[in-house]
Amino acid sequence: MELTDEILITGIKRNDYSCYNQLFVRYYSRLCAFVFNQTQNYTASEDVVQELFIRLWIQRGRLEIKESISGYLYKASKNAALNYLRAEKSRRKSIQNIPVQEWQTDENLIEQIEFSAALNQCIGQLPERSRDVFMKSRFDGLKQQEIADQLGISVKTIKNQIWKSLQFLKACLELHDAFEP
Amino acid sequence: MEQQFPIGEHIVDHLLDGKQSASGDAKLEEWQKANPENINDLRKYQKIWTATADVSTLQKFDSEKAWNQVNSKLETRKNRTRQLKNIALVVSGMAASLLIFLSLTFYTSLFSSSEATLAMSTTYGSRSEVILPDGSVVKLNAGSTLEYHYDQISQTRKVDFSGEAFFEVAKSKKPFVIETADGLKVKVLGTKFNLSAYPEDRMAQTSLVEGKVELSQNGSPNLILMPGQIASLDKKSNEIRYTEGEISHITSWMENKLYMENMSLQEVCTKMERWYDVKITLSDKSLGEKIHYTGVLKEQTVLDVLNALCQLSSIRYELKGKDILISGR
Repeated sequence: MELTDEILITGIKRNDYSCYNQLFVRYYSRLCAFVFNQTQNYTASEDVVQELFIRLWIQRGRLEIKESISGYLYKASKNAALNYLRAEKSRRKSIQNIPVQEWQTDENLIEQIEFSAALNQCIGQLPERSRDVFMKSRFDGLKQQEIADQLGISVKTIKNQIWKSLQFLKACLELHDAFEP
Repeated sequence: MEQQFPIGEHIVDHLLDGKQSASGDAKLEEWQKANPENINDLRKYQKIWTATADVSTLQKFDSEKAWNQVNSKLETRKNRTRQLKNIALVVSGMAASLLIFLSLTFYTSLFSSSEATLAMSTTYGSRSEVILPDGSVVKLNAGSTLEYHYDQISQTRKVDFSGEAFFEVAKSKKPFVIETADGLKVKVLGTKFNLSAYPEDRMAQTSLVEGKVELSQNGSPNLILMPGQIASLDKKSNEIRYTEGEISHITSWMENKLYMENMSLQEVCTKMERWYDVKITLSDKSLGEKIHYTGVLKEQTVLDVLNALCQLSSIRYELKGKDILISGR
C-alpha cells in the first residue's frame, strides 16, 4: 500500500522515521538527477540532496509546506543546488570561471524526470532478459548484430523482444497516467 | 491494443535509426495514416525511447546506499549536540545554585528538543523496514508501532514496542532495551531476533536468531535466550517460558509466507486481518477453534489465501469490500 506524500509528511512531523525513510527512497534519485542536470557532478548532486533531507528531518517540527510536496522538494533542491554552485564559483574564481546559469526549463525538466522515474519503475517490471536486451540496444549503443552475437540470438528475435518491451512499457506508463503532463 | 509484429519491426527500426519523422518508410507512413491513434502511439514509443536515456542517470543514484549515509550523518550531528549539552552540564556544576538551576532548565529544554523520540508505525496491510540512527535495522510487520530514543543518563538505547518486528540490533556497548505494553523487557547488546507482541494476543513471543538476549518482566525471574531458542510470555499468568517452535517459520512473514503448524482458523484469521487490512467474522464462533491447519501459505492476495483455506477445510466465505464472512459448509 503506497502512502501519499502528504501522509508521509504528517508522519515525519510526528517523528515517524519510517515515513522519512519512505519519502527519501521515493524522491532521492529523482532530485539527484534534477540537481545533476545543473551541477554535472555526481558526488555534489548527492551531497546537495542528502543535506536537504537531513535538514528536513532536523527541522521537521517547524516544517510548513503550502504547495505540493514534490513541488516543494524540487524547489528546495534547486535553491540548494544554486547555493552550491555559487559557493563553488567563488571558491574556484581564481582557477576558472563557471557560469551560474539560470534554470529556465524547470517545468520541462521536472516533467522529463518524473516521466523517466515512472519509466524506470516499469522497466523494473520487465523480465530480466527483455530488460537486458532493451537497455543494451538503447544505452550501450551496441549494434543489433553485436547484441545478437553476445546473447546468441538472431537480430530478428532482438527486434521482436524490443517491440514486446515497448508495448509493455507503453501500457504500463498509460496505467500510471505518465503520458499526461 | 496488441500490435502485429510486422509493423512493430518498422517502429523498432525507426527508433533505432533515431529519426524524428516517419518519412522514408512507406509501410510506417501508411500505418500512421490508417488511424489517428497510431500517430499518437508512435509519439509515445518515441517518448519512451528518448526517456530511457534519462533512466540510466536515475539508476546511477542509489537511494539505499545514500540512506545509510544520511543515517550516519544524522547520528554524528546528534553526538555533536550531546557534547554541547555535556558542556552545559559541567558549567552548571561549577556555578552558584541559581545558575545550576538555570542551566539545568536549559539542559532539559535542549534535551527534550534534540533527543526527541523517533517513532515508526505500520498500519494493517503494510510493512516497513527502517534503519535506526544507531545502525540497527528493524523490519516492522503489519499493525506495529515502535518508539526509539537514546537515554543520555543511563546510556541506553530504549524502545517502546507493540506488534511484530524482526530486529537486527547494531553492536554497541550501550544496551538496547525493548519494552512492550505488557511489561515484557528484552535487553540486548547486538543480535538478531523476532519479537511478536500484539496487545490483543494472549502470548508475546521472542525468537532468537543470533547473539544473546535477556528477558524479564516485573516480578518474574529473568530468562536468557540462546540462538535457536524461543520464549513466550503468557499474559494471563505473567510467566515467561521456553517454547517449542521453528525459528525460520516464525520469521517467514518477511518472505510473505505463513507457516501453519496445527494453527487454528481463529489464529489464521487474526494474521490475515493484520496482513491484508480486512475484517473477518466467523458465522459460528466455535468454528475458529474447531478447524486447524498445517502447511505453508505463500501469500498472494487475500482471495488466494481464502480459496486455499476453503480447499483445505469445509468452510466458505463471502466478501463485501473489506468485510469477510466465513461460515461452515
